[in-house]
Amino acid sequence: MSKGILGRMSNREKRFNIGVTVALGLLSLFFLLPIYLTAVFATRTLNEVFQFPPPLWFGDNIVQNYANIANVFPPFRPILNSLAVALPKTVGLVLVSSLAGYGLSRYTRAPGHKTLLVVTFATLFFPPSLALIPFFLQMNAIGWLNTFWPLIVPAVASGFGVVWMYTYVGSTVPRELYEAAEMDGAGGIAAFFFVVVPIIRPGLAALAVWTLISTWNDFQLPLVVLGDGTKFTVPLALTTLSTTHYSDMPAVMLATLMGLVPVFVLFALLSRQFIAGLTSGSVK
Amino acid sequence: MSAIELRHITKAFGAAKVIHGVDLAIESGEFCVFVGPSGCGKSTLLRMVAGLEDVTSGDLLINDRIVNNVAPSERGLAMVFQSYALYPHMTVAGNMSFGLRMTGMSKAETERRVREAAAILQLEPLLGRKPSQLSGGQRQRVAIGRAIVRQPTAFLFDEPLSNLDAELRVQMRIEIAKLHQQLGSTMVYVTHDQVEAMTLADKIVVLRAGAVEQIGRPVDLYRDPDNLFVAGFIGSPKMNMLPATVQANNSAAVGSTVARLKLVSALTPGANVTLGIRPESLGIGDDAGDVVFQFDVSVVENLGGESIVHGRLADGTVVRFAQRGDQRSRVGEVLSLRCRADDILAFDSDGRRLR
Amino acid sequence: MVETVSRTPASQWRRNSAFYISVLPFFTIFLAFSVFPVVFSFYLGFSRWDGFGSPVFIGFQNYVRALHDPVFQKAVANTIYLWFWSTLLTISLALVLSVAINEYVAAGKTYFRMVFLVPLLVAPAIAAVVLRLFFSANGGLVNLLTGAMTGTPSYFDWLGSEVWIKPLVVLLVIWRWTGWYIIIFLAGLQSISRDIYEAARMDGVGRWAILSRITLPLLMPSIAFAVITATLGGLQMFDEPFVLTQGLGGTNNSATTVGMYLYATAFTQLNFGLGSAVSWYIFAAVVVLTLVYRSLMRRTKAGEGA
Repeated sequence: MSKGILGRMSNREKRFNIGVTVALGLLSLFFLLPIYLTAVFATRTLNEVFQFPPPLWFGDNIVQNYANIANVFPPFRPILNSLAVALPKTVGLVLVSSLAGYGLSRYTRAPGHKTLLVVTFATLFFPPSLALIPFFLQMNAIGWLNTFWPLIVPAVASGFGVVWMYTYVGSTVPRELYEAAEMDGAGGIAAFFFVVVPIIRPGLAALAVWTLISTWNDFQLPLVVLGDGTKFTVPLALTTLSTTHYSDMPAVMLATLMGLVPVFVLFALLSRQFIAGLTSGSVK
Repeated sequence: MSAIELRHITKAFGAAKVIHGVDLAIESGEFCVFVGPSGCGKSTLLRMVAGLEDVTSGDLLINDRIVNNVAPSERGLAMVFQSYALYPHMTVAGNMSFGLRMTGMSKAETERRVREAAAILQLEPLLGRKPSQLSGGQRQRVAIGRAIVRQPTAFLFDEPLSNLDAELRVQMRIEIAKLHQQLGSTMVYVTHDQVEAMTLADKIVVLRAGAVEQIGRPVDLYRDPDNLFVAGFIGSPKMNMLPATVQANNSAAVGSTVARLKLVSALTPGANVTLGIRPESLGIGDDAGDVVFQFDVSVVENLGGESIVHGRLADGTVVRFAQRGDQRSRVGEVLSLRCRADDILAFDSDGRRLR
Repeated sequence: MVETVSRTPASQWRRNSAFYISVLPFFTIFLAFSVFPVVFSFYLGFSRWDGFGSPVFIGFQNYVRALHDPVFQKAVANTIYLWFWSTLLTISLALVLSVAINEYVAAGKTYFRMVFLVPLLVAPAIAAVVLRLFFSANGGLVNLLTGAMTGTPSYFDWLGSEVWIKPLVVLLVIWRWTGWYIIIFLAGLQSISRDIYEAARMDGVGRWAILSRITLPLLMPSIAFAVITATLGGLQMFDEPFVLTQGLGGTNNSATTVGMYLYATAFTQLNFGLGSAVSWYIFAAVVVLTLVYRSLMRRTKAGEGA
């Protein structure tokens, strides 16, 4: 690997670095421990879980645990609910954000551009709790409570997404490319679809991953708008299950594990984009 | 019939005026170069012709039709950008055909044109590659190919060679000149490099601060500049400028050297003028002329075939002259520098040429 | 023949309309579902309303009432506690870890870059469920461990404890969020030019001096961004304490945050006016703290220039 910033290292420095690596390695195991134990407990019986020392390797009770959850609710229902919210929201958010980010990035001379850009940045400092109550009342008024619509349609307009796409488009699409497209007869919207979208695909993927994961993890808004247990998304269903069936810890842990699998798979496939997504927020 | 005509074109960004009324006619088949220092408005002017910038006032005509409000893609022009502006996600063929596809041209005709352009530019083996797999010179050729397929009224080039290294730049310059001969199309070319302007142009437009300083053939601008700015901008190394005072009989004194100027008009004795002498007009041989300056050599830049000798005249004015490689002046040497009176240009105190 | 063009040229109009079309979907939805509710919330803050009938204007009563409510006072104190400690500890830990990963780790850089991020994938609500695995009174791993060590079974109710609940919330925040700040700091560290380090080394600057005099000051923008983000989140903290206390706020409201107070007043007591007033307090706090940070940042930058 690299020699580090300090170039050639003395033996003392090498020992220090090895020490740091070992310490970090142990700490990282500690960070992973809760998730690992969740997986282990999900395969164990109730008795095994309450032993000391607790089991550290997988057992064979997973089928029974699954049956126990299935007695309470269809185990895949929350996952399907979460998908029904997260997928359309992600598609919409990525489209709306990239289009607006492109417009703000390209047409800097249009009247009102500066105002709209400032407003967009200001939305980042908008605490969501400010709109929570009236939003609930609004959803109630238009009859959207207890449906997925409030979690999808309004969420498509994300200031974070727009700001991010604005910086991303600005840093990846050279201005001359717009002019080349204009000479070639591709107008503003055509240039977006034929020229900009293909170029910013990595950015779109990153925003999509970030949106999927954060939507999957959303708690407060679903809690407020979803009343019916059959509509519950993963975090809501698990919270409820862990409260009502706490005593059956292996079943709760299995349900937890099932709720985690989709995001973990997504992360394993697209971790690079995900990290790019996290970082881009900080380069303003 | 002019291919492109500018009638008192101005451009303002808000309150800031950047182009102050340019009149210009570019004839069909002509290679016209806009040249000037950075910020002179040459690119803005080209972009107004292209339609990428709006014309604030005045008329822009292409083939005798006013096109102020015509979309860039409908002006029948094609542009080659400084950064090439190739679509990174499309192949070479895709880049060249995109504009044609956008106008709904048939697939067969599109393909035919792309193949034709590729043949002219020797791009055939590269048609399936992406821009990232091409060298700088190849990208440049693709950018030109994208322009050729549109069979435009005129080609617009915006500093197309400035992203290339020195060797490639010379090579591409020659290719563009050949292309102009081959296609016979109108070309408008923007550069800050006066060498490119001199070598490529049929007509040079020298711009400064949003106004035209002089329009003319390269050789005319070199031999017969209208003002100090053009005189200083065209030619390398730069023309020497010597402050002088007018004496009787249209002579001018630079220190103790007095030169009889060949002018039609009569000068007022005592007036301050500037004398312009090209470095290549100065020499140290007895046959170099009969106007003689005393010259202290301070630096010698040896370029191999020739040397540029820098030094000072007796009155302190810095002067350069070009010397063949086999005549070596030494630092600290005092020379008698000569030139012909015919080779001296004179400018008044406002920088206007005195004739 | 020569006419001066005074109207907006067609091309200008074409470009402007493309601009408005591109931002239209975002601003329409934003206006309908964010701006409109917020304006309505401003009105609600001055009203008494339970969602039935029509709101009654009562001036500043909601704002005053919140201030006099001991639960609200406690929620404010809890929120400050949780925000302060979680921000301080998470960012400090992330700072140490990211510098260590960037400069001192001997092997497995990619692993370390990724691994701390994994908890962020776990929804706060789910994370709280997992945390209860460790800290529940009956069968929690910590109690099992202490029981095994002391020989007498332990049934200490960590989550019910007024003393321990807040540190546990902080622990949960640290666990989930450290990885995110590591990513931010690593990005910041990597944007520092290697030349600066080489120059410092040529000047004979030592390892620790490089860290404190070069790395940290140059990382200040990333740190400031991290603190602002942590503050925006911290002031509105809801998910973690809500789930850890099963929505009840813990014994004696020991973990009730302002966000939970807002939720409870609005959605269990149906006092929408009071809830709205509280949301405006949160907004005011966010604005004030953001402005404070910005002026602090400007001052440190000015100090560097001197």
